[in-house]
Amino acid sequence: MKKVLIVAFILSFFCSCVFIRTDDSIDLGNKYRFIQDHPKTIIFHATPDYEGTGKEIVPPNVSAYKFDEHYIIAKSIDLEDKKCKYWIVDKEAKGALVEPMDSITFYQKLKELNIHLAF
Amino acid sequence: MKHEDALKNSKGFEGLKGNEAKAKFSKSYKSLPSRPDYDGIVEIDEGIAWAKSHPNVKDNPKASDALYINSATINFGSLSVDNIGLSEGEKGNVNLLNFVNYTSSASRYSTYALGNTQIQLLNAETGAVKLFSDVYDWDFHNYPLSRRLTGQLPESKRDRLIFGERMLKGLDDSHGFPIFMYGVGTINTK
Repeated sequence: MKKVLIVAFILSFFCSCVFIRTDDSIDLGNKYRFIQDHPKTIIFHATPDYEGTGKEIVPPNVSAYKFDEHYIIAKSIDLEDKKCKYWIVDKEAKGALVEPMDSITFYQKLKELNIHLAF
Repeated sequence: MKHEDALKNSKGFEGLKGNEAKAKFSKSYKSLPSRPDYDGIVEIDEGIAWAKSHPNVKDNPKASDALYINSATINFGSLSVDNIGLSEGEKGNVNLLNFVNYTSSASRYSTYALGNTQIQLLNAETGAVKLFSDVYDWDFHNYPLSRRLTGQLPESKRDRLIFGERMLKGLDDSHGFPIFMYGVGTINTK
């Protein structure tokens, strides 16, 4: 506990700064990333390594996602119309834009494409 | 309601019904210069003070709980048309910390306020960009209650930094508010 307090004190001393905005995005593979910070989104970066920018593939607000080596599936709540939308991203698509779908079409597509992912 | 629709349907000051409504309007109007966003910029201390004076508004904010930031005042540091990774018209996300100019207070305020933010490149020749509404907060991304209750620190570097900032500035889960961006920002063209 004493160690935790000391570490916390040292952290707090150095933290009054922009470093609190340090990146903690999740690497989904093939240059796709999930941005955990608001607004939660899935992006694609064209650069070999992630450098803090990316094109929006699944717009905010992503409420759930799962991925494997081939696909990313995501559920989002549109910030404007508040509708729930579903997405299937083929990771070989190299950042090509994806159209959202409703839940019925989404679950049909999962079967069609033999995608074994679930929220 | 979209802003454009609100403007179309506005009946102006004359449309206010009764003296109470007019009095409320006048009170609100007179309070504008005292708001931290009156100059379109929100400094770090101002953002923190606003959060403390407006607790528990993240989930159900009133319009007056938000701060309104002029995108033209945002300092994007070294972000440019060349490195933004977007074509004209495309929307994307940028983490301003990757581009911050540490010697510029405006760049530090902008990065602190927005961090990761949604952005659209409007014009690749002029560097015009549009920003979108965001949240100014100090939320944890992966710090479950089970860890908090046992006095353990967060596991991720980012959450530990947030933990430290919260301790230093007296912030907690109740602090955070929406920010609405207006106007057009400009990034470097090269």
